Amino acid sequence: MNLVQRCQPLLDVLRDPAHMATLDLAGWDLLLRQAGAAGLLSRLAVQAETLGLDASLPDVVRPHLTAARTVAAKQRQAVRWEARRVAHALTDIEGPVLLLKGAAYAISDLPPATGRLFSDIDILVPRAQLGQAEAALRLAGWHTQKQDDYDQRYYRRWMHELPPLTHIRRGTVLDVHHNLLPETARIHTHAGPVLAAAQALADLPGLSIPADTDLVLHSACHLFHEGEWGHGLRDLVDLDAMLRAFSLSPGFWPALLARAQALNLGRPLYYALDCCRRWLHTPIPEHVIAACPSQPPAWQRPLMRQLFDAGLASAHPTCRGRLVKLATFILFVRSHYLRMPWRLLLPHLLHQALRRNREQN
Amino acid sequence: MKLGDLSLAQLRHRLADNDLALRTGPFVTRIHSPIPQVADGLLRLYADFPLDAGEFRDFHVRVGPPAGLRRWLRPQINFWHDGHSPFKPLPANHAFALLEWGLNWCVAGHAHHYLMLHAAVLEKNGRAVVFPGDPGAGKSTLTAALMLSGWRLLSDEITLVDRDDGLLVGLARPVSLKNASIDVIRRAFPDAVIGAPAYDTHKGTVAHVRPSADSVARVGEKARPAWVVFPRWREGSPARLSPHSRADAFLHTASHAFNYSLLGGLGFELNAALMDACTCHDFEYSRLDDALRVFAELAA
Amino acid sequence: MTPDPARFWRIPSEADLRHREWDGEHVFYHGGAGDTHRFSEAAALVLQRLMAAPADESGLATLLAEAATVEPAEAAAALADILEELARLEFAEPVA
Repeated sequence: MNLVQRCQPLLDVLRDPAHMATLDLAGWDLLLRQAGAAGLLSRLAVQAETLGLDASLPDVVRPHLTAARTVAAKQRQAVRWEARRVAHALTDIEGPVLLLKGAAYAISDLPPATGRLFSDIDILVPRAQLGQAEAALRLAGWHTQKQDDYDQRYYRRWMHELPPLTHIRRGTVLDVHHNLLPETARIHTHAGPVLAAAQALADLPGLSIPADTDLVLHSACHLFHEGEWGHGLRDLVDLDAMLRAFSLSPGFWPALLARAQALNLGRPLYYALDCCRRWLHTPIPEHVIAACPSQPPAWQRPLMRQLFDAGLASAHPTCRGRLVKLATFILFVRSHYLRMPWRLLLPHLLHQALRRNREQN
Repeated sequence: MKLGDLSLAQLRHRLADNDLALRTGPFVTRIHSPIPQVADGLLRLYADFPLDAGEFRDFHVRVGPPAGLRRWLRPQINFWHDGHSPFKPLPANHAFALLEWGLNWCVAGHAHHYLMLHAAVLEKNGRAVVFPGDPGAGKSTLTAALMLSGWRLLSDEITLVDRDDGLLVGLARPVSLKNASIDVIRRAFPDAVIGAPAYDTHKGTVAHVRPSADSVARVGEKARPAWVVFPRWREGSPARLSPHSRADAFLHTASHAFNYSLLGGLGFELNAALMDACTCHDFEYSRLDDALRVFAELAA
Repeated sequence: MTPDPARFWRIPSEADLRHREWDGEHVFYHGGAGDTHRFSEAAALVLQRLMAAPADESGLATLLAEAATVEPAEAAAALADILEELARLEFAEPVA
């Protein structure tokens, strides 16, 4: 049984939510656990409600979905409020302020927003405005957490990012970026075109979100470059939802490929398209995948597929294969390797390991 | 079938095989554990509880040794909910207490179709008293004593408020006692069944009182809230009730609830409805028999 | 913020405020921020007025003055404190 086969019934339901109507109690028992571990239960719960399935569900299942919907609804309200406060704080910043990922989906009611769980808010500002943005946010109550000097250096000097900001009263977390990938990353991409193509939000003056193609590309490069495979499947679901919706617009596929070329994000896009098709049966025309820029060499693909599959399946014990631990470790190392050159990486990993050791003793 | 229908050997077997599903109020939990102390505790305190033979469980938990070398040095155990461990490992002789904390964690962390307050709740003559209360205020002692003198226990820790009708839903699980209150209850109720204590936990010495058969049998009955009472044990104090501001009670229950914030506007409405339905009181006492008398009068 | 009798105040968009009162004590809930607060009778009066519709500082001061039977100037001073607190907690905001 390969990994994709092992993650049933979750994959069946993700591919076709109406499948929930056919599950027996044993199936529901497993689905709730797999979906819960993958951060996707709320999404399924909202879809069940939308499809009118709720009334015909087994009585013992219904409370779980009610609870899951409650959590998502609260988070959605919180993200929207937080985005407003961010807009308010950054009113005087020159240039666009873009909401990224989850917050962007929530504010614009895009397909990935359905039942999505959020943690931090990510925004993108022009590099030149980073200092001003940080100052304005600090005035409005967002501060860097008490981190040691090392962390501050890691973020500021090496990754050229601000450390995460925490709001002093609300406790919410804000990540301020000036590019889609860290500056030290092996793949270099440009923020300029993304900022230029931003779509302003009508009901939130001062805030924008990336263009459709850029939302997809950012999600792809985030998933396939970061080490956060805990919600890898959720991120893949975001991608699938966007691709299905955006591809209804004529010209979307060629625009996506051209944009991947321009932003130098062809590689992560390739992985995203390949995984979406295999895992979630996203309807992607064959010629689109074939025409994807910067594809990995053929010999590398089976290995990368195995690694990514292991990462995507890692959420729940019933989905994991034997080698998942090794695979997720390799992916973790890979994400760091992609993020920074060796001369920075090795001391960094050593420092992190020592710190974890200190905290445990 | 009830848990008490199994022999200890059968119970141990089923726990070790991950083949035991226990119903506690609205929840069915499958428990996996090779630890003898867990089987002992369950048999002693959960004999009246029904076992569930169905294919759907609300929670899947395990209490057992963590992987790794430590298991041979100083025996430890940990709690997992569906493969995820929310706590740090504890000494092996705290296994039953860890199970109880874990079961609370499962409910408090997931059952958001209820508003969940951090409070004890008991019912008598069709009306329920809710005890929010800070740790160390004598709430658990009072809860155990009321149950042992005939009040129906819904919960000693988590008050579940039904979002559709505002009624209270019970779990009827064992009452957790700490330190001195264990002896107080033993002396006042010599027939009470109390589990083996766990010493040197982060809360001191912890033991659990078996829930009354009536409480377990009637766990499916929801209860109508009538009183919110903030108890406080104070040396030499006569047992007496005095008024407590409802706005203050609202804020207290909200800030100590497990999911008030998470429920958003609904949490506000449910908590407010609770305050509307109840009179709020402070309660001071020192002698248990005085306290029981005051509550008997309240419920009459 | 210096008082300005002509300045309008309102409940922020998507704040989703709710209010209950028991025995003269007022509790307000802010859905957006997820906060719950107890406010004084005076602050509660101001908030309830704003929940009905935006109002200017002059009108709010008059409301307070009548309710507390004090001079408008005294009410205006109290109002300034109240508005500052409400703004800090994001329960109310000045209209630009």
